[in-house]
Amino acid sequence: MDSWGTILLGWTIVLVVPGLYGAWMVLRGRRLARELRLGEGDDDTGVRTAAGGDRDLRAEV
Amino acid sequence: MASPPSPASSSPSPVRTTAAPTASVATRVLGGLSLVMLAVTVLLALVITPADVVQGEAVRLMYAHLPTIWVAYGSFAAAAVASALYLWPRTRRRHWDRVAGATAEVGTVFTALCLATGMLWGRITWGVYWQWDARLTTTLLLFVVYLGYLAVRRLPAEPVVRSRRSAITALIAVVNIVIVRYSVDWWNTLHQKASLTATDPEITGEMLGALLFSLATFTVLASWLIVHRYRLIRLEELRDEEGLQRAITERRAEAGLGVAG
Repeated sequence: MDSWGTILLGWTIVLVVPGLYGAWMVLRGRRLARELRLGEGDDDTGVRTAAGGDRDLRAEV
Repeated sequence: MASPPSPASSSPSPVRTTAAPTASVATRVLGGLSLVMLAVTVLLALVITPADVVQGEAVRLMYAHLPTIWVAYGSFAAAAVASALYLWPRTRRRHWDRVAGATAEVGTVFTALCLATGMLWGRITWGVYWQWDARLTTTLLLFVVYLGYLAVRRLPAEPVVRSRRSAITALIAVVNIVIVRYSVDWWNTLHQKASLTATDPEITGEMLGALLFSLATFTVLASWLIVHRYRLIRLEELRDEEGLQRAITERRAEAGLGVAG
């Protein structure tokens, strides 16, 4: 591989890896948030868990 | 609106938290800024700045390689500070444990990027991808140590015990940064010594400007990643807590326990 090919490979790695990592976190965050929201309300035993104290975790950072 | 307490539980019912995804206005601003700055950085690194007198075009990898280890050092230092704050009784909050976890993970990713770009840069300048010299070896050790830290965070244990173990591990691991930083001074190495110092930088002019801009760019990018990771950790904690509460509630319901009042 010539030097320009190696340089471009290095830059590609440095741009793609953080991008994929960030995308994974965004998608996983959406999935977890959906799972947690879907858990609200009556559960299978017919017991209703308390639904007070809504807190947006985004405000914690 | 308050709901009647769960009849299957004699203890106060769990407070439900509205879980939002990790994205917000702040992360969109950080993310957008990262993209713009990355585009400018790539333009500076690959097109605008001149080739080096000694290294030729290979120097263009410097604008990717140096910022990655800069971010890694900063992240690991932040993890150590957050860990110390977690261990100190007056400031002990899970928030600091999450900060340590998020920053250490991002730092580990950037250490891997530093090793990868360093190997490619070495291939061009030294003719080899790897040499067991002090700088490369200690950087690899840094990467392995923080992989170990991430593994400690995942060991099954009570959350408080796990957080304390992780915090102690982070405070021990951070010593590696000093070893890596001064490895080129303490030992004879193939790797060049520091070329960017406050008092007498060897890089000047547009190359220095491009390098400093690149450092800022990757700092913004790392900040975006850290905020997302922190919120993801929080969501994972909520999921684990919810799972535990459901299990307790179901077991009590099965046992016919916990009629209120």
